[in-house]
Amino acid sequence: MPMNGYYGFYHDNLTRRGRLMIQQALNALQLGSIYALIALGYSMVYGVLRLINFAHGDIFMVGSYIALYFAVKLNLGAPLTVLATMAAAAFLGVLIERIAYRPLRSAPRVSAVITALGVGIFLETFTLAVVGPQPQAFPELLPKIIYKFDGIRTSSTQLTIILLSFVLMVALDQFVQRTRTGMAMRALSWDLHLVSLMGVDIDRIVSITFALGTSLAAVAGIFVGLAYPVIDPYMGIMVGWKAFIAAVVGGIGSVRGAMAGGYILGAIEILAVANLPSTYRDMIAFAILLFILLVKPSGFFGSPVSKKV
Amino acid sequence: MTEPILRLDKVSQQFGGLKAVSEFSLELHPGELVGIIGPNGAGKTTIFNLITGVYSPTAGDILLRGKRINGLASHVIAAAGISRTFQNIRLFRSMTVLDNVKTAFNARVRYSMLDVFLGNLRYLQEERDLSDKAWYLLERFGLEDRARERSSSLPYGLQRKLEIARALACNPSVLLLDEPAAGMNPLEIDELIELVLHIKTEFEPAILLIEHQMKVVRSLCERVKVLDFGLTIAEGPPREVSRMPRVLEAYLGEPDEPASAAG
Amino acid sequence: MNLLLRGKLTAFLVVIGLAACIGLDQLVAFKSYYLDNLSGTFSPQALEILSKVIDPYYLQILIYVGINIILASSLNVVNGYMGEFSVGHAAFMAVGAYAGSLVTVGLFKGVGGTFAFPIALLAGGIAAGFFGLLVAIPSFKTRGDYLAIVTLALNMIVKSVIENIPGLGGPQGYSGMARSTNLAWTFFCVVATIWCIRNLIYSRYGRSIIAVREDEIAAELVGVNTRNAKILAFVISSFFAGIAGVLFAHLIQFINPRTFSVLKSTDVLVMLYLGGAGTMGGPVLGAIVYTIALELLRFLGIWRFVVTPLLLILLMILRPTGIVGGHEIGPLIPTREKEPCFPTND
Repeated sequence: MPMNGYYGFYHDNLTRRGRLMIQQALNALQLGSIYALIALGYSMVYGVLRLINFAHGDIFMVGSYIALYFAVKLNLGAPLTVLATMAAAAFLGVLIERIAYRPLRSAPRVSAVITALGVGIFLETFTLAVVGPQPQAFPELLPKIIYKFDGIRTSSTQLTIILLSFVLMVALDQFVQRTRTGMAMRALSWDLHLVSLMGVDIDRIVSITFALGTSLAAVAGIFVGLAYPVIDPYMGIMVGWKAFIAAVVGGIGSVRGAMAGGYILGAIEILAVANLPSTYRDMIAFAILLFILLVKPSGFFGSPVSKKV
Repeated sequence: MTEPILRLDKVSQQFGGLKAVSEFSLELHPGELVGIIGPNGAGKTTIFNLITGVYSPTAGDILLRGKRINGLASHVIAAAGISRTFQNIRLFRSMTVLDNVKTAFNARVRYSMLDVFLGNLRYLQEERDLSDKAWYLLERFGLEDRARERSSSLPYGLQRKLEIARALACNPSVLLLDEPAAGMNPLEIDELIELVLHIKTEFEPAILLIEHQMKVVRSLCERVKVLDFGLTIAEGPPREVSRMPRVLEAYLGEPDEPASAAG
Repeated sequence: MNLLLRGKLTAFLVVIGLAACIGLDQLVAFKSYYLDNLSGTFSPQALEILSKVIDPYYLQILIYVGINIILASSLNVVNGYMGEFSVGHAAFMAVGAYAGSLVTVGLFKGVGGTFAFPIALLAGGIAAGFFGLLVAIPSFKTRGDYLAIVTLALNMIVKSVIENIPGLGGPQGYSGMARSTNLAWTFFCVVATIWCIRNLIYSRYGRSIIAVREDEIAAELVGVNTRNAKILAFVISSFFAGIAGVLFAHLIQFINPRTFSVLKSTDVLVMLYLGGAGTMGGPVLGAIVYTIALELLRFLGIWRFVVTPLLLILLMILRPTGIVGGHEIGPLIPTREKEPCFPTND
């Protein structure tokens, strides 16, 4: 083989690899955004209540069904659908907290966790009973334009998901860091009783936390509907667990950690799918979770816990 | 003098930049009752945590009957004969009073797992023996009437007593009492002093006592060590120590304590 | 004296129960034999009576109740008595089910009959017990929520691993087991489970496990080896879950990884907390009530699955300690734990 021919081949291979990497980075960003949006809800609720809200993944699923209803039955436009879905999901989240979690705030923590499991199963089975088990097609809310650039393929949907998620997360971060309510949320994660002594209305803060978390999960539900255009009543389980892993990876209770964890998990999963049989996908996610928990249980951004004698 | 049963040799403990205890030395002889006093945060409880293996000292040695015990697991140290009570009571709250004591016998039970699954006579008899022993101990502490109640339902004073009973159930040669009189009224304090003297004669452990109430320290301890910011600043019989200028200075810096130190 | 009498009475009742179960099993076997071979010899009325007495449907529900009692009681060791929150009990069940099925199908080619099944039960229990040992290791350092997540992740991983092993049938599942699980075996396993766990709890081992729940540091400082206690709790818990898995596999005669998903674990959790964790009676009662309630609500169709989580939520809000409400059912407490023991008789 002539020298320059060899180099040419090598060069060509490099750009192909480069293109593949950019393509995968886009896919990873899309998946990571979705995980991050859901992980935020887990993390924020854990921060204020020390409760793993096992129902959160199912709220994400319900969110996408609500959006389906608004978009198809009521025929609202894309922006209205998103806003109405967020509002409805926020209402649902606040309602769940009021009915199921608030009476248990002073009960043993295990009761609250069981209740959360119960709420999750309820949302699944209720949706199943109402809409049936078969997957449903999700409408294209926006005109879908496919962009091809030097072999890299992306779409308006994908770019919207990535950008809109980013905007939402920056907004949330600013809210938590800058506003009085955000400050109270962060204070709650240090000491619930102390903060209540300082005259903060805890119930209000908790409600706001749930509203924010569930509305973000609902947006993630819309995004999943757009990106993988079918939804079913069981989709909340696996995606929910994955998002939960993301929250733990980032350090549960930390808002920025949850975002970082979402992107990290998205990237790892895309890499795993590209290089391994697809049946290993879930296994790898959970293996990562185990590894993180055993090596650095407080996650990358969480604060370590110390024992006191 | 006899061989010390517990010896701490220049023991230090550092948490990050904070030296909680520095070069603390102590010899405790069988049957002795030594007090450790000092203002809050002086490192007294840390010394107990070091002796019982909750922390492992950053420097120095802890010897029980001449054998090094630092670095051993807490339960091994407990089985070797050191047991303690806690400043903030730590009972097994939802267990019965009787079971609290029986749990402390665990290290000396001989029946095996197989005996348990078979439910054979050896298991049944030894369980009964354990109950009898525990009952005997509870009677000594006036707790037998409430043996079947949850330990969390006991009033504060009795919880303290139960904690001491549980510590004694380990059959300790060294007993560490961490502020046993905290939160007690004068009457209960007198009772406590009686109780500790009684324990000393009946069970004969060497006792190390952390206490803020100078009345307790004066009536019980043969000698005391005074700690401030992790350093030993004085040592001697209680009456002499409480008149030393350095001790007064350490306490007067602490607005809560001057009365008890001076009086 | 009184003690001896009680012991004999209990043993007598157990033997009677076992005999009744064997009898029922024989009747069922006879009924199917009758239908196949003797349908002309006996009157149709006799068959009708026979059918009413031992409808296989009711028999099956009884066996399910038994398996669920074993599952909930074994989970109770870790969740109730040790105070941890294991969310992956189905993983141990899966290990037991696959190990047991490998023994009966792989080793005995499905023809071992009565002889192979006890070996399979034991093998399933031991395999699951070993797996429990693995889970115990993270519990040395991790507690509470994080340990719950570890058990959950292990559940998912076990399911994924089985899906990826072709020798175990992969996602298609594993079959070929004989229907060895009958009422007698189930009854025997239930009694053995309750007997072992009860004796364990009212022994020094049980007190160590409970002490870990109450206050780990205080437990260490009175001489409890908390690591051993944790290992023990996880191994015992998973051993019996494994046995339940073997029973399940030889009842359905077909297992696949999806059966042992987190949903199955959640079922067991629901039964345990419905009855009341941390007592011997709670999981037994919870398993009975839950299993039967699911059958009674069958007329609701798909909505029955909506009703059960609602009931659970209501129960947690109104009575978080479960049906038994933190009280032990009398006969499950050893007599010696109820009477004053000092000074005792003789």
